[in-house]
Amino acid sequence: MAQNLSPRVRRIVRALIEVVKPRKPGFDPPVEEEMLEFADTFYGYFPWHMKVGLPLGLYLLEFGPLIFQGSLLPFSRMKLENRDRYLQGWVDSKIGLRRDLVKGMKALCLPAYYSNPEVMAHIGFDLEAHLRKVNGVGQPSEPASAEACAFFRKQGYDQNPRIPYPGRDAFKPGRQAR
Amino acid sequence: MITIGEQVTRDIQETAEVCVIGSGAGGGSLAAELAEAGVEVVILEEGGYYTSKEFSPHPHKAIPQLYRDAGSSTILGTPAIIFSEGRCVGGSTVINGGMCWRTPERVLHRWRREFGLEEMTPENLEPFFAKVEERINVAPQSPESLGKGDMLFKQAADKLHWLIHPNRRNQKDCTGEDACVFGCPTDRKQSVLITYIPRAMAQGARLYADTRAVKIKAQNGRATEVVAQVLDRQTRKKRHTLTVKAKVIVLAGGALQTPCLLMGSGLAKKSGQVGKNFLCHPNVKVVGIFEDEVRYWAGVHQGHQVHEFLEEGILMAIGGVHPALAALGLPQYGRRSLELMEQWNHMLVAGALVDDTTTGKIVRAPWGQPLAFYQVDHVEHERLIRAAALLCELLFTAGAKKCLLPFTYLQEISGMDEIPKIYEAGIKLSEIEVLTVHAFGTTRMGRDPRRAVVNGFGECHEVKNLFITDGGIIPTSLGVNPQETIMALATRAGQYLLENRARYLG
Repeated sequence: MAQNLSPRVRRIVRALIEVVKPRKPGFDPPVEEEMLEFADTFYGYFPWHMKVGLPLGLYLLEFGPLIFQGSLLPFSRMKLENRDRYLQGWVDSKIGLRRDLVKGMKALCLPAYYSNPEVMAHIGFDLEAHLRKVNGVGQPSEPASAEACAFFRKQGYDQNPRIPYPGRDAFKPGRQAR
Repeated sequence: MITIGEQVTRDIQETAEVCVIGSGAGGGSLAAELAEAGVEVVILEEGGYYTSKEFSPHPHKAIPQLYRDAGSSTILGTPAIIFSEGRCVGGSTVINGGMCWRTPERVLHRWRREFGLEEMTPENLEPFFAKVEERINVAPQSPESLGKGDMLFKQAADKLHWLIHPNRRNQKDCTGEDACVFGCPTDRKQSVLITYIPRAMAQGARLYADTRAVKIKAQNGRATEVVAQVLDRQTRKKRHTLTVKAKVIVLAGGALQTPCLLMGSGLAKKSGQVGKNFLCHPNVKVVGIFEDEVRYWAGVHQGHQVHEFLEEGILMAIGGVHPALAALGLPQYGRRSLELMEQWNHMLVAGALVDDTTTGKIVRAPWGQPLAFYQVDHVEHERLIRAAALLCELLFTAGAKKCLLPFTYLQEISGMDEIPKIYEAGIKLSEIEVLTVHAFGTTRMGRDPRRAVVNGFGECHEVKNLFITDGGIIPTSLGVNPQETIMALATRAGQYLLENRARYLG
């Protein structure tokens, strides 16, 4: 598979993933490679200025400990807990650019994690079951939420199949709240 | 006929009566109206052609496929604003929430007063709105499609006596799958991809996907030819050149791409307005966490909107967001992110868009891509903070025990009595997480050629056979979702062209 990120940048991203990846005792699915591949693919779609900017941001993250903290080790060679502390410093930084860079780096890594079936099942996001339910795949279709359906029926939502456009009054000043 | 990039094996020269650049709300709708009237139309679309069979409900697959720059576009300023738009056949209508609102009268009034667009009255626009609504099946949601999140939202708004409207959406028998933003997997959302594009194709229009317009050539004050690159879908690199000679050229690539193309082509420069007046409806979101399960994603993307504060420039709604995207908006990572996301089924994500009170600009970068700049002003700053506070009030009224805020240093509050903290915290602009999916104004319409790029029919003041029908022509903030306005204006432009067929196409 073609790689968009250079080997050096991949190494930094891999070190970043180790910190950013959510894990807790008893739940730590092995999705690091998926996350890395997503980051690589995602980067390939970036506009030109971000293609330049993101590696610069990652290098800043990598060499930041040497420059700002007097550390002897770059980010990717720090111990995991030190990397975590260092990244948290960026999240809480008074410098908006640092915080924005962390957001960008999270965007590079987390979507693949939370799109993993095991993770989605863990947080209770069973989209496939919902799609089967509302579309009646292998069973009669059901409302998206029986409770909400009963509530909105009571409110008359099924009595008026084409609710008229709310009209001008909805946008005029001085309209009285219901 | 739809031709995808990989089917093109050599450079191509096309001729057509009308060449439309962009296949979304403004391009697709206009192309279909013209094709159905017997006009020979060629449509160029930079994005790929995907049908619902190829859509995925998961962002890591859907976003690179359907979104420009895989959703990574950013509007530069403080704060930087995350901006998403579609890049596929059907444009942003494939990945939007499907909300359909006519242009509010107060907005039309402003267009008439400030831009001399006297014909922009609700009465004059009524037939175009009606036509669009019929074409894309605008209808309210059935009770079966609405989820518990909508129920809580409605109950809370009623309790607060806030004006709340059921959303009008372009959908047919929507079941509340909540997959709108990654492309409706069952074609129930009536995007341009499955409404206008098939109509246009049935009448012989020709669409080239994976094809990016790079220049419009003009001669003697008339646009004559579009030069486009046929791209490799994966690498986005040029494979072949496509040129289209046309009697009329229509730009509908969106409020960022269209001015960039005009600048690159050296057209419409006299007004000095191309790329200026950029508007973007800055958004904030708040996540409510409830004691009981909400499973708000089990129901339609956005069933209602609170219009109580429209006059203050604030529109509120709940919106279905995939957990992967919700997690990105929260400051946590690592274990803390997971611990928070384990409450996913107890969350309700609500958002508010605010009316622009300032404008930004689009600049064409040396590498040919648009760069967007927008500096939120003090009025919007206050509005964003008030919008977040109002969202908290709504969510706490709905029963939330905690609200997660879009602010760097005030990340959550735990009750109604803590809402004043939002106003008192002295939140700076750089500390607010802002995003948007709307863009307007960069090729605005108006009667005066010194203040506007196009007239009320979308026709360029300077280049008479060049039309623009995307969101860029909307001259002011709308305060509501723009797709119906864009489609209605494009339909109107189409009718104008047909009424003056001899002049433009003869």
